[in-house]
Amino acid sequence: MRTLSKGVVLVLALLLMAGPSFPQSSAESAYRAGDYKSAEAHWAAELSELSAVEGRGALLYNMGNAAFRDGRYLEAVARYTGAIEESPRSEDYWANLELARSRAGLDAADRGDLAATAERLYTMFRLSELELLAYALIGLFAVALFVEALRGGRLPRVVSFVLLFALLSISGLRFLRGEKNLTNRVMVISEGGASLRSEPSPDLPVILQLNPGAVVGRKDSLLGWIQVECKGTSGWLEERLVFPLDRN
Amino acid sequence: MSDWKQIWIFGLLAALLLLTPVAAGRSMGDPRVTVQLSTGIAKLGEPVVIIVKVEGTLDGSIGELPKTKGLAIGPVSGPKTERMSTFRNGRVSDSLSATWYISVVASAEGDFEIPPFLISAGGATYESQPLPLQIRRDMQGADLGLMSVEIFPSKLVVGQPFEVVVTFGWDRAIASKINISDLSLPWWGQLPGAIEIEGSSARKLGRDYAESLLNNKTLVEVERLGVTEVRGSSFETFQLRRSFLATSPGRVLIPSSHLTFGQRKATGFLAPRVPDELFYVAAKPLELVVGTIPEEGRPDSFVDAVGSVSVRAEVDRREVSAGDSIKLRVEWTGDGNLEFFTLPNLSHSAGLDGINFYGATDEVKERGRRVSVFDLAPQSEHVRELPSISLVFYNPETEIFETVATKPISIRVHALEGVGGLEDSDSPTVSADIRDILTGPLSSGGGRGTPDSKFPYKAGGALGGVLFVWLGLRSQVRRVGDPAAPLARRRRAAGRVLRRALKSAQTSQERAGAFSAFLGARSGESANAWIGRDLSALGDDQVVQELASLIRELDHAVWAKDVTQGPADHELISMGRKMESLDMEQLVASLRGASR
Repeated sequence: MRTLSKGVVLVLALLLMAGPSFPQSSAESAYRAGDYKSAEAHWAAELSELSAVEGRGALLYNMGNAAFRDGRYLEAVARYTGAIEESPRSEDYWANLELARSRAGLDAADRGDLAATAERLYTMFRLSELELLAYALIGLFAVALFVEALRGGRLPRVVSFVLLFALLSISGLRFLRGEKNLTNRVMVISEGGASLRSEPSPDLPVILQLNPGAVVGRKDSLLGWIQVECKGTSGWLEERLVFPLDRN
Repeated sequence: MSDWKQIWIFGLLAALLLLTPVAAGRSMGDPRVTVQLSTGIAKLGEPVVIIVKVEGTLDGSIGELPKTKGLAIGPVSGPKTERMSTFRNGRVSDSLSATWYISVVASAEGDFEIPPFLISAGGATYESQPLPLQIRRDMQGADLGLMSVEIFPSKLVVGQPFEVVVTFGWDRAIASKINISDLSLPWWGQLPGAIEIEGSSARKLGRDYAESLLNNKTLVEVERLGVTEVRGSSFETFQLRRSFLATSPGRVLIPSSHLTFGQRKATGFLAPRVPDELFYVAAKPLELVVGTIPEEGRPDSFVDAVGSVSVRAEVDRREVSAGDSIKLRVEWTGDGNLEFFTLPNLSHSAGLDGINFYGATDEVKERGRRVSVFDLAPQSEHVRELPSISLVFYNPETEIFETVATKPISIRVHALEGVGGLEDSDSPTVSADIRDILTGPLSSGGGRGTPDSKFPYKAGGALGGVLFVWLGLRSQVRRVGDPAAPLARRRRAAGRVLRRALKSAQTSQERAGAFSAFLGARSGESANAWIGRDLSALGDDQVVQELASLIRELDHAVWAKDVTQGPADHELISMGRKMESLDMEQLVASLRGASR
């Protein structure tokens, strides 16, 4: 009995030391073999089966790598951008995005200036994280108020005000980001850009030409066309020329 | 509100309402209306015509013609309409124009001004400028004067700049007598199908300038060319140059221009009037045909450059470290539309392998010369040269698309320190690459959660609940007393002092001291005031009696010098809690009363 116990303990220890290991997926195998299109198709299938957002960022990131290796830099940019929407603080995602943008001939996403830094700070938390932070602040606020009710005094009141200010700021940020998310953005991934037309028909005149990498907000869709708004102009783009950045 | 104030506000609103459609109409690309005379100076009996041209629409009409004494204006003939379709970037665009001709006959010589009249075009109404017209019985001076109007280049397409050059002068033999020069250019500011390029009237360095009257109204600067030999005589000559951009295809008419020159005699207040000695010379009218850029043979890289263009390039330095920026300065010259074409985008250039392109800016942008700076950064020491930059332009003279290109420029790039370089040729080349894919079960884990659509309600509810509970609790606590009052704070502080002191107390004396300190803190007295105090005579209050008993026990334990004797710590702390309801100020007052 004692020997059996020792054996079990030893096996558990070895398992813990080895860490988790997973079998190589078919997508990963295809990717390692250089079959990037096949790998991308596997990940795309996995992405379409996702019911929640967990893992979406990683799948988009891997698909971005496959598009990059395949020389489709604009598509890679779109996928990395989508991945960053899910994991805004991932260094890997940002590093690959900047490299893909450079290869696609686009400006850096994080130019390092004040506006870009502010934008990065603004988007560094996911919506769910902001919500969690807001709930935590409500808890701390409740504690501070509890102390204030029982003991009174200046310190609990100051702490309560600070926490309330932080709570309102975080909630406001969450609200603004939520509104922005509703715009459902898409990125132009066609090398030649995309033509905006007043109606979903290729025979109609082009009312605005969008450059590769341009990000616009989707309003509607209809049989291979999507309605977008850009610089105050509303029109229709061919859906195959763009990639959705946000969750549907 | 007073009546005047109401009238003022209504007037302001009415003005805003009236102005709004005008502003909106302007921003939507209104038709362009030009009105010009066929000549500014004419001999008596010579036919003169007012030419009204509307561009951008065929829908137009001439309003009531003005009346001027000495001039018979009308009838109106036309409109003569023109429609030209051009195919550009896959789109068909139409240019429309309608032209009316209004006859003007003078019955006497003199200086006239045709008053403004109304023209309707595209649903809007436009007003012409006053048109000055000089009618002369005799126009001598063709031999004494010189006047010509020329256009460069002679073959034009839409989007191409052109220059109108007016050369004029007079015989040098009478130059000393000339004190008036008036250019009559009826097309000035009214050239249909073309717009004047900003800055084309700027002075050029090192040139000599004089002034001349223009259309008998304003003064204009003209360049003094000096003495020129014409028709075997020496002429004092001047030149006026202006640059225009052809904006629509079709015919651009430049009507007959005149120069009036001579001597205007000065007259005194009472002296008899002496007639001016004036001479006239005319330049022939011109017609310019503006064509379109053909769609056939147009390369994808065509960026709307038109005219002749030549280019040369230089760099600010030829030796850099990998990743450092090199400024490639490209100078475009020629008579093409240098100010207007889009710079070539090197992002999609095939020859830029290993070189990052950070954009291009214009350093100089003027008629005939443009200097652009391309920001390039070679990324590795293997880059040996900056590739040539090419520009496709349409040459109207040859009627073909031509290409100019800079020469490749040799550079030397040093590897970054510690990264390996030319000296370390066996080392592998280091360059940026993407980070690897993520492995493992990608579609699970993370646990970041989806954003909650009901978050505002939940957070608002939680916040409201917290505030509600706080208010209830606060009002309940305040009913007993203010917890932040000095007495309450002293009570809490005394409890903390007792617990802290008992933790470190080793002997009965130290414990008795800690309790005395507690009592002192509660009552606001010193700790020593409570040593040996007898409370037994202070009534039947149970807490007071228990306190009196506890103080006695502590006193005995101190005198017994026995660590184990006396009340335990928890009894002292328990006593402290029981005393929370005790009014210590009243207790101390009673003690002082009893001692008296």
